[in-house]
Order: sequence, then structure tokens, then C-alpha cells
Amino acid sequence: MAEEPIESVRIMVVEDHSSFRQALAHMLDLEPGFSVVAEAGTLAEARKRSKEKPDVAIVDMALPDGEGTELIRELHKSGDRVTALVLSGSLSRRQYARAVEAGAAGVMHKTSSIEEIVDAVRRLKAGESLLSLDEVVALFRDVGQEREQNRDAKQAVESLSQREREVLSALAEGLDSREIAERLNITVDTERSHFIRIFAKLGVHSRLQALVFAVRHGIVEIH
Amino acid sequence: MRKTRLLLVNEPLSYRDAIAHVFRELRPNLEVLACDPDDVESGLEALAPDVVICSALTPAIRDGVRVWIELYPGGEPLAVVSIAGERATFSDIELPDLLSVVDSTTEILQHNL
Repeated sequence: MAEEPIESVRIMVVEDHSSFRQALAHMLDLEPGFSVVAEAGTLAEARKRSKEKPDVAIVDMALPDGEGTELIRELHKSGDRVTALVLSGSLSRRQYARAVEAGAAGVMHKTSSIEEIVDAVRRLKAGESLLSLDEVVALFRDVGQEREQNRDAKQAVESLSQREREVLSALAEGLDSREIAERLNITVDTERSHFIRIFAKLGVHSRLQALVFAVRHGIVEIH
Repeated sequence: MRKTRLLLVNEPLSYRDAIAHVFRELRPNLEVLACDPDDVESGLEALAPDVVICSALTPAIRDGVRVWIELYPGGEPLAVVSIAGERATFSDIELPDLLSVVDSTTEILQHNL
């Protein structure tokens, strides 16, 4: 009886560092049962090449025209049953969580060996999970906490009055109390009162913390 | 005719691994050693390479190796190639270009014999 042909794992590699992408694709293509059907160096290219219907997409998070999570989300929603493996050079826990939330089945750092990456692709094709349920729950909890913090921050920003924003802008220019008061044509006591209200609204305890919050959430820019 | 000697000390590991594997497979005439950047001095001593691929140029590489490629320094999508002191910077470099640099080095070595 003739043996049934082994179905190849169809792989797409999305990575903007060309020599690495090409070397990785070459290595993967040599593996028995693997076939690299597409390579892409940008999100735009990856979107076009995903028409090759890969089974597994190896995706870098940082692409020149966007984040790899955008592609992963689109692949996940497309219903094409593409399993995404993120391979990234810098992955904070929050980025990791966002990748999993977007639909990545696994996340690996680029400090992994080629053997580990090949093994991960095999395991994903075999339907194995690279993440335990506990890990996924912990990651989603982190994403939930981040969203809550962002929502609170947005509300805090929206609660600031125009005058309070002007005070923060002056602070961002490096002005001290007296200089801020002069700039805004108010007394130093009034300037301090503004800061007391700003601290309460932003949930901070110092001008430095207020400045960090303001920069982080786009209320002011530092030039 | 001795083999051209290639030392890879670039990071991260997946890049070093993948590129080393490709060179070993496509250029069996090379002697290829891949090691951690922390071990670059011992790699240089062990192999006395003709070509080094690194992520961060060190004085020992710059002053002691005829051909070197600084690949994606600091994760930036660029490469600096130096051949006998002549440097060129590329906004990105493809695998065939890396192969070509090493092939050119092999030709130079052959002509110098």
C-alpha cells in the first residue's frame, strides 16, 4: 500500500531584518515537513503574502510600518486558521500579553536558538500549545490591568481644566513657581493651589510625578 | 589551499544560529565558528578568522580582521561592511550580500597565494 504524502507545514516569515529573515526561511525550508511559502519585510507585504495561506506565520513584533500584533489580529479574524508565532527581540510582559490577546499561539525571544524555533513550529503544527493555561490567564490579567490604568488616566486627563493644563505646560518648560505665576499672571499662592488640584486629579504627589504623568499621557511635550 | 575562516559573534542567538547554519550548508568550503559575543576574544584567537560578522565592533575585530560586517548594530536595520579598511554602510543587507562578501574574501585569499 502506498504511503500517504506527508502534508508540509506551510510557513510565512515576517521580519524586517532581511538577512535574518532569509536565513531563517532557508533553514525552515530545509526541515522535513516544512515549506516556506512566503516571506515579508513589512506589514503591507505580509498582508499580500498571506494569500499564500500559510499554516504558521512567524511574525516579528516591530515592523517598519506597524506592529506585528496588527497582522496577528487580522490573521486571527480572517478565519484562515493561521497559527501565529511571535519572534521578537524586545518583549515586555505587556507586549507579550498583547500578542497573545491578538491571537498569537506562542511568543519567543530572538535569543532562542534555531532548534528551539523549529521545535516550536513543529509543536504548533501538531496542535500543541506553547503557553499553559495559567500563563494565559496571568497575561490576560495583565492586559486587563493595563486597560484599567489607561482608562483611569484618560479620565484624569479629561478632568484637567484649561488653566491646569497651562500650568503643566509651563512646568514642562522648566519654570519654577514664581516663573509660572508670572507667565500666567497669577499669584504664587494661586499657582500652588492649581498644583494641589492637579495632584489630586492625577493621583500624584509631586511636581515631578505630575510632569511624568503629563508627558506619558500626552498632556505636554518636552522639547 | 586553506579554507576561508568565518567567525560569527553577532546577536541575538537566533540570527547567529541561522546565518551560521546557512553558511555551513551553502559554503562547505568555509571554516565557520559561531560564539557568544562575550567570547569574541577567544573566538578570534581560536580561529584567526578572515571574516567576522558581529553586532558590535570591538577594537580587536576592527584592527585585527581584514573583513568584518557589523550587522544590525543596536538592533538598527543597517549593516557596516569593511573590506581591508574600506567601509560601506547599507540600510539593510540581504543574505546573498553576506555570502558575496565572504566569497569575495575567498577570491582575494586565493589570488594572494
